[in-house]
Amino acid sequence: MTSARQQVLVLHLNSGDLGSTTVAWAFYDGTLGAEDVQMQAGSENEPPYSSVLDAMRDGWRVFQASPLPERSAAAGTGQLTNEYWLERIQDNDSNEGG
Amino acid sequence: MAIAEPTVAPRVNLLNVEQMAQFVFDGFLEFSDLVPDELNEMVHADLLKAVGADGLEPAYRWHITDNPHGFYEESSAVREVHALPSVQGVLQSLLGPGHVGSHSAVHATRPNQMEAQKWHVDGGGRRQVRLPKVHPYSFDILTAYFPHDTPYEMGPTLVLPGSHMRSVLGNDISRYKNIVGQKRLSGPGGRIVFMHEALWHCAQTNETDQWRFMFKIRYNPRVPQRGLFDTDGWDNDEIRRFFRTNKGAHSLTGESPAVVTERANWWRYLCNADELDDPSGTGGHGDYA
Repeated sequence: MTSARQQVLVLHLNSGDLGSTTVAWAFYDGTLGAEDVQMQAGSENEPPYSSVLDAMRDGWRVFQASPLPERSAAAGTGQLTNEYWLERIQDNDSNEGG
Repeated sequence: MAIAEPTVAPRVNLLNVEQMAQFVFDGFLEFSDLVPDELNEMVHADLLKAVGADGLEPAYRWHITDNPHGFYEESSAVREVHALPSVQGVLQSLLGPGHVGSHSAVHATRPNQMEAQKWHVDGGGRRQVRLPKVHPYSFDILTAYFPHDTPYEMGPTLVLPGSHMRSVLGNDISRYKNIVGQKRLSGPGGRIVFMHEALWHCAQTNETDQWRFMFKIRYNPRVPQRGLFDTDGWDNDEIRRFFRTNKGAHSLTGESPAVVTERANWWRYLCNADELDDPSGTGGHGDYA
């Protein structure tokens, strides 16, 4: 079985430009075991990258971008928009213990 | 049983326009001076008796019993806290006469608990995702009472100021982990935070060796929430300036223009005034934007 594991970084930006400022972030780490603690809500106050472009320069690959939101007065506001999913593949043998 | 307000509900200790405007922007108000110290200590002592090796005693877990007020009925001190004229004044201002506490719950976080709750909204969601017969400007209030000191590392409730203006379903937002502007409600004991029902929130990790407690009541209004607080000065220059200078507050992803109008109309509704007049149909907001 392959030892490659996916790490996923979800970044929300303040505009549709990939160089705009990060306003929310989440990290899901496939190298961690079921008993390990993933990133928790409220655990950090500074984003790991200032933008998606900043993360790309560090080796992260964008694999999904949210569609541009439909804006209307009737719809109001809801979920955070400008959402980007990035991945990094790690060799789990070198990450034992997470 | 539901928690009903005292039979005689005095219209005293009402919120003023500055406080209510802050609530409209942030989605919560925090008070540190409503409850005497001795009452806080009595409630804390009662809460320590409500937990054991297996966590919160089953009698107080409202979602697995048929009693949504187990601890409230058990602790005369916590009942006294929520009947204080100072506390009732805030509830009167936000909910009006006849408000009812639909359920209450002890929130207990174990010592050294390193997993946080996930971001959520209580009760499902708001406005567009609610039943059509629910008035768009109606809201419940969640009181979060912290009887003892809850420093940052003890994991007081995390909130996202301004998120009450977003329409989401309860647990969809659990995908998010960290958001610019998030705020841990840390501080000294005796604070009560009055939260709009749609405010995003979650409990935090507790890195101390002490139990962390918060006692919550969800209150429902029974009247239209208009003109219930001290509305004196609701349209004065200072208030208009406050709305103008803070129009971009809590705007994360470009939603500010939509929120400005909605916020101004909600404000006018709360103040018992007509919604913004826009005969041109151009979406002008007048001095509020």
